[in-house]
Amino acid sequence: MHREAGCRNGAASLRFLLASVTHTRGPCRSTGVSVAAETLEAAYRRHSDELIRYATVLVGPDDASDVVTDAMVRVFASDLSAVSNLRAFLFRAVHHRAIDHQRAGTRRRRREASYHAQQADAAVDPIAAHARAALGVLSLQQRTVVFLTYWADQTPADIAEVLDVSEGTVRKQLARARARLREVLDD
Amino acid sequence: MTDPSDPNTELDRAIARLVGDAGADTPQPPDISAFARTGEPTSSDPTGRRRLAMVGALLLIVGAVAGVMYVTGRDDDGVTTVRPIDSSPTDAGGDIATTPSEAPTVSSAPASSESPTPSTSAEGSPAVANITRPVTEPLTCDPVSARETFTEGLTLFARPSTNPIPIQVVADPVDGPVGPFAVVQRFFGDDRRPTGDEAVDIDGTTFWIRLVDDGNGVAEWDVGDGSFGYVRSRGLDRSALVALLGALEPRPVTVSIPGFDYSSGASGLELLHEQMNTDVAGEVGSSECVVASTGYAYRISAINGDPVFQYGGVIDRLVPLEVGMHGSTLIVIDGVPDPAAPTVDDVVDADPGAWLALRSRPPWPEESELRTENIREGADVVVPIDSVDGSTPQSYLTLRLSTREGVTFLEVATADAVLASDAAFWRTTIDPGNDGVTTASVGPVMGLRIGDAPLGEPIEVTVSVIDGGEFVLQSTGTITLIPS
Repeated sequence: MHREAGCRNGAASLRFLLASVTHTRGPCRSTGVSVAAETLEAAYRRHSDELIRYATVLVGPDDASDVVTDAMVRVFASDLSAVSNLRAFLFRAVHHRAIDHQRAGTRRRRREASYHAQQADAAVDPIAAHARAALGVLSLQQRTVVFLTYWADQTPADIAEVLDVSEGTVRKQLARARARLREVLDD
Repeated sequence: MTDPSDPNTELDRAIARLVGDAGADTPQPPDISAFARTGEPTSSDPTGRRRLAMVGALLLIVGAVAGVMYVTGRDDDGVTTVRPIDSSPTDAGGDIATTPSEAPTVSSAPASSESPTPSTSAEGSPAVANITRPVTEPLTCDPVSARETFTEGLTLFARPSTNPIPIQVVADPVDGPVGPFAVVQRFFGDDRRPTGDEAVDIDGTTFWIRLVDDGNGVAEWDVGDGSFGYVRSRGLDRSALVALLGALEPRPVTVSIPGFDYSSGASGLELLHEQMNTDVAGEVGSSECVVASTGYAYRISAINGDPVFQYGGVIDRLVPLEVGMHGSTLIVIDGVPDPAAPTVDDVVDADPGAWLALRSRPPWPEESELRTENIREGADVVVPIDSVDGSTPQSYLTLRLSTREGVTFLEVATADAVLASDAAFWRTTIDPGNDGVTTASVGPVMGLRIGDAPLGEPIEVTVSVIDGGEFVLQSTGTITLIPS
């Protein structure tokens, strides 16, 4: 029953759609007019640089491509009939894949191994690694809020749509993140 | 995004630089040919693989937290979910929401709801600074990892209600959360039936109580006016719990916090804090460390925030090894009792740089390693359930096997789980090799049919909390249960 409700309202339907990739008989599937594949492709091409950068800030350069690819595999297999904001939808997909990624022990181990390998690799950008470590004091949601605010110039309302939370939550998370980063930057 | 008139502009510029630097080595985006026009889940989709691998197997159920209203739904793929809780902020109500600084209206309560400063470790040190990055010296217990969580809008104990819930803390004003205490809630307009191990009649009201060996207790009762009382206790024996229940008098529903008045008695406990349960906020910093001489691992947590958050954080879990205060920070140590175990007095605030380094390490022990637990009928196996993004504190589930009419059930007790704010359903997945049948039961325990008794083969179990869009919010990871 929650799915039907999700089909009727925007934010919930986005959440449903994202989760419904592996379901082929979802109740939302027959409703609305599908977003044309060309539109989705165009949206990806338009936002791919932002998306890969966002993934890099969240999970690092080694796994960013995997996260974006996994997210897009889901997106391109989805019914997008209820999606009204493709940019937010794409960011949301990457956000969710990044969370999944955080839980994946094998990837984490690979990342750790890669990190140690990078230490000896002169090609690695130490400033970027240092900046990601500093941002690492934030929760993933806070990092998302910070990235979308400071890099993507998104408003709290935009970010709320990506994260499917209230604007108030976004503002609070941003305030907490700023306070935390002030502490880190002062040290 | 920076406003030149904002005195924090410099900070904003610094953060903007940081964010820019963090993406300075961004790789090229994946080529669209890698995923465009793939109309179905592909082998590159790990979730799809997992789900396909589970076809024919069991995805189960659901259950719920004690006395909760359940909403059930069945998906096309055979996954049955039962709505266990509704800790969503949408039930925040807010008309009578208050801040924790509001003083209780009872005459016996202190005028202030400031956190008491227990004597344990803060005694004589009223100016002790808060600890947010708790560690011990390496020689005492060598830190190996750390994490932080921030929580707000939390509804404690994951018991749903369509109406605001008053929450109150009855505790010793000196010992605070270090000593015996109880957290009291009152629910309105919900169809609840009290349950427990023992019915106790007090002045014509029947209280159902349940006491656990470790010192935790629960009481539930029908207040008689359509409302429902609920108490979680720590460190109170039966007589103390019964005395506490008898000292609770329901307030008129028209007051700002329509909980209970409490008549302080010989126990020394008083009503110290109260607020509406829909906006609890706080933060937890925790580290894991290992004692070199024994190899035992310990988790040290620093809980700051609303007093109710602190009490809730320490009661909604197994009884810790030690609890104490540093200033207004509640310090909790979990681990094996041992003379070499770290104590509250050993806990210090880590250097920010050292803390950052600890946080960059993977959680210890590796949370995604396949956990293996021996399990036998009737014996509890306690397993942690973790947030996927660190937004909810770690809490615990209890697993046990039981046999009824020749069938083995896996029981998953969820009463100690702290649920994410947007949690909607429980999902328990049993390994693909098991052809069990989905069942659900109303109560604090999910009953999952495993197969004919006795259980001979190991089973793999994953218990998750998911949101309305089936996104996993919290999970135990995969646990292999080996019958013994």
